[in-house]
Amino acid sequence: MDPVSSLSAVYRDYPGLRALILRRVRDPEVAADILQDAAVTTLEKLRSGEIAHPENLGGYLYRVAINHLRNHRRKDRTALSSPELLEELRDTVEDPEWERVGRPQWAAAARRMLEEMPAARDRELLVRFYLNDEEKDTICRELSLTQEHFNRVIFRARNRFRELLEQRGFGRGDLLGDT
Amino acid sequence: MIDLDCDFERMRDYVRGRLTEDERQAFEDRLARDPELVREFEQTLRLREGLEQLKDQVYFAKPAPRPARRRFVWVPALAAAAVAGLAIILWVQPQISPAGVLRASPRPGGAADISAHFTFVPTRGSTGYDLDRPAAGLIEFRASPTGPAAGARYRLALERVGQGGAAEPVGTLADLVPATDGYLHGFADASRLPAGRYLLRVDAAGQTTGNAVVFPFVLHDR
Repeated sequence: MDPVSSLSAVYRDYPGLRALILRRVRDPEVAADILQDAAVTTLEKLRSGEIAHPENLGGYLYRVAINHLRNHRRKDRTALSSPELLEELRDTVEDPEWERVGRPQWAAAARRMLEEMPAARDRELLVRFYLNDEEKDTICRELSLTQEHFNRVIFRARNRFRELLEQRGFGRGDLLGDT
Repeated sequence: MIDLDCDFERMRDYVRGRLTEDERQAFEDRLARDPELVREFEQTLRLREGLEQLKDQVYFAKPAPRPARRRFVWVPALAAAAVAGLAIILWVQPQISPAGVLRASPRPGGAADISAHFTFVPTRGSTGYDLDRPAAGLIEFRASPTGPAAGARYRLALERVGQGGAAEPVGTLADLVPATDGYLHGFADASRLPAGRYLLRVDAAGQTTGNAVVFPFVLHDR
């Protein structure tokens, strides 16, 4: 597989990874470079036989991409607050590739999932864990939750989110069947 | 195999670079050989991105998610009756003190008159919310009582921010307990809240105001 094809595969199979990198660097070109580098590195390692589990190429790609992202953030923190780059980031929402992988449906599924949760406390748990990056222990203490309750809420929320995406035609098999 | 006790947190910590060198190495080794972990990781990132998009859309302070309701043809008639009821009440009771703008429940039979639901949940990095003021009817405020103001009973205070930046009390509800949905609820007539800047404060009973959770918001005319 050539680098262009491998990058296409990244965009198709790992839109979550792509979205994460874009959120973090807030620059579509830099995000594309990081993914491209990760795809090329993965491909080279595959060709040279350095990947122990070639059937799980996605895991290796994840590892390389997140390490590239971490290195980038160590070197460059200037891109975080530029209004021009934020505007450019908004433009990427129009990217047809995002439509194809169902990114617009992620928000709709997340909204539906939140609306179906009966307890405000559980909704808050999700927001604090995933958006605020708060520690599990802190959330459990402040919301008076057991760790088991916390795990149960996260587990159910993820399952429901997945179901909702599958109902919208963006199931696991569409995107991750070949990992 | 996913470990519920720690994998969800570990994925997040891995992305944030919060793992020790040994933990990171162990996680990467698993990532390289466990396709299920990769799928769950990808799933985590999609869910997170979905929530990020909702945050971008100011969803967490927009009209609250409501249980799905059937729409009936008599809803307009009910709304008209509620508006008429409101007019009669305002006519009979023209002098409402500022402290009375906020009430703990809609007036009897007034639930149908609620025209906006605003939900406030603490989110990091949030500096305020832009909200559309309905032309008439009741605004329902729902505030999460958790965070530094955790307690058993709460005070919910609405303040209007003036030109000079000073906040004037508009309404206060004391001795509130969270409803079954976990939120503190307050109701205000939209007609009594002009467009402008406001603060919604949540204090736990017996705590200093320094521990209040404050939600700044701006009401805009539609």
